[in-house]
Amino acid sequence: MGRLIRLQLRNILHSKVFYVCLVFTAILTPILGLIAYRELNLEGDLTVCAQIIDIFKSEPTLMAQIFIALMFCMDFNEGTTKNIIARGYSNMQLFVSKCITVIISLFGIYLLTALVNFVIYFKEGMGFNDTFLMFMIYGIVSIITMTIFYGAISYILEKNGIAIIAVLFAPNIIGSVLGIISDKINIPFSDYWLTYVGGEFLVTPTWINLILPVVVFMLYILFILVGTSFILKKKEIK
Amino acid sequence: METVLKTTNIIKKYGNKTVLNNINMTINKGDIYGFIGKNGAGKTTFMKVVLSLTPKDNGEVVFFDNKKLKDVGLKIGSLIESPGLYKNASAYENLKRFSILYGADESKINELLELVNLSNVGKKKTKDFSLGMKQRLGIAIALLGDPEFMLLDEPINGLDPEGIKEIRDVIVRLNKEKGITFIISSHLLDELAKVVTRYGIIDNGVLIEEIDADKLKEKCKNKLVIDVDDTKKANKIISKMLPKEEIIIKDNTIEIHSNLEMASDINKELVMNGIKVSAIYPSFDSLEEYFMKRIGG
Repeated sequence: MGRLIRLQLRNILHSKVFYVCLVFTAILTPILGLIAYRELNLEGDLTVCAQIIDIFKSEPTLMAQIFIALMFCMDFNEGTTKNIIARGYSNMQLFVSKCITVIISLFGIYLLTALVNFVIYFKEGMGFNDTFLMFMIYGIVSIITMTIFYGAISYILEKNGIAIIAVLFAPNIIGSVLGIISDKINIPFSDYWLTYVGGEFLVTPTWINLILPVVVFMLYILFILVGTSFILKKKEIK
Repeated sequence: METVLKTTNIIKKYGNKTVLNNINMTINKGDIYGFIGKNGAGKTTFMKVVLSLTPKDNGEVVFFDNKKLKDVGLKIGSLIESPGLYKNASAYENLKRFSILYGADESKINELLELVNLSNVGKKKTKDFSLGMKQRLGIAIALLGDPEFMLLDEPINGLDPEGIKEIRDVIVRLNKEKGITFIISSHLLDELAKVVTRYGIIDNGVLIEEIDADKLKEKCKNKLVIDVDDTKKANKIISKMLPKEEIIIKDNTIEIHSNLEMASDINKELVMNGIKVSAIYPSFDSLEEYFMKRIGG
């Protein structure tokens, strides 16, 4: 597994999309945010921690979603998956190695984003508090879960185009469908859908409200890994 | 003798169609095993099943006397269909990345680039390579980690004569010098015949025959050709020695399809009866002809 992870890290470090994602997320977004604040004279908490919280509040950016899809499809696109599986590695090992490396690179991107925010907003103060800690925990678990979710979709679909479309639209479409069904049968299970489960915490960030999304995210991770391993057993490598 | 690959009752179905039907194959150490069959006969599917690229419906695949692929994968190199390459990377970078997986140092990478004549391509991206260059790089990648067994699916497909010879030479050298065992599928049967030591013939998903190259040669040696100045007279003489239906006359030659060991007796008899025999030799079916006969084509 260690060798697979090193191979995937090298793939990521040699891919243009990683650097595009890095520049867009870590540098352009904070700078554009600052410009928007100034131009529109918006009021708000401009401390470093508050800005970082804003990043973790939202789902992965469009660029990050595309990055995830492309990285999980890469070996299928290049036809190199067979070079890996034929040497005795399993499909699931390859999938897990991609999960680990993409998560590491996303954390790298977020870390750089935090540094850029630190540089931009340092004079406004750090603003470190309990809420920041809560959002860090929420953000980390949420990024891991969403990466595994998007990764599983992309790995199963194999092709870049369809994977990107699925990753961009599937979560909201599934959420909407679940919402309609929930309303019809009067059981609010759609509140537990991946993109909705953090809703209450995001509005009222307390330690108690953090428990539900963290537990549900953990269950999603487990469910996605088990489901994916089942699907991959039947997968043919072209 | 050590067995490198043994498959037992391999069955693979797509829907109702059985594409591999109870394949039992044994490849011994040192073999260059030619795997031949028509398009769609099941060659590639079989190789994919062996390498776990396609799940099988039944059967067992073991390597190196009862070991599973996950335990010996690093000792097995393969090139299935088109080579899997990182297209925006150079030949060196491709080898570098896979060397992480298969275990190979810098000197090995350079040695392999030399071996497949790609040491002078520099930073050229593999997407700009010719088919032959891609194929050679695919073989170099398969050779990372010093495999003991290699599965090559149509490795000379689409190559020019020079490229075919290069690949053939590499295979023979690796077999002779490093003792690497090969299974090679190809449509170019006469090219295959130049390197193969053992054959497996597959037809409609069934392995209909496994045969050593030497035995196949014997089987293909199926007629005696005699060039004479008077075929009518010669026919009369030979007819006294052999059944008439075994003798075929074509222009100035007579073909005999049985009792090939009687060549010297026949020659003696013809000469004693004043017939000029300008040549007498056994004739072989080509591998292609033999293959066509076996699959009923």
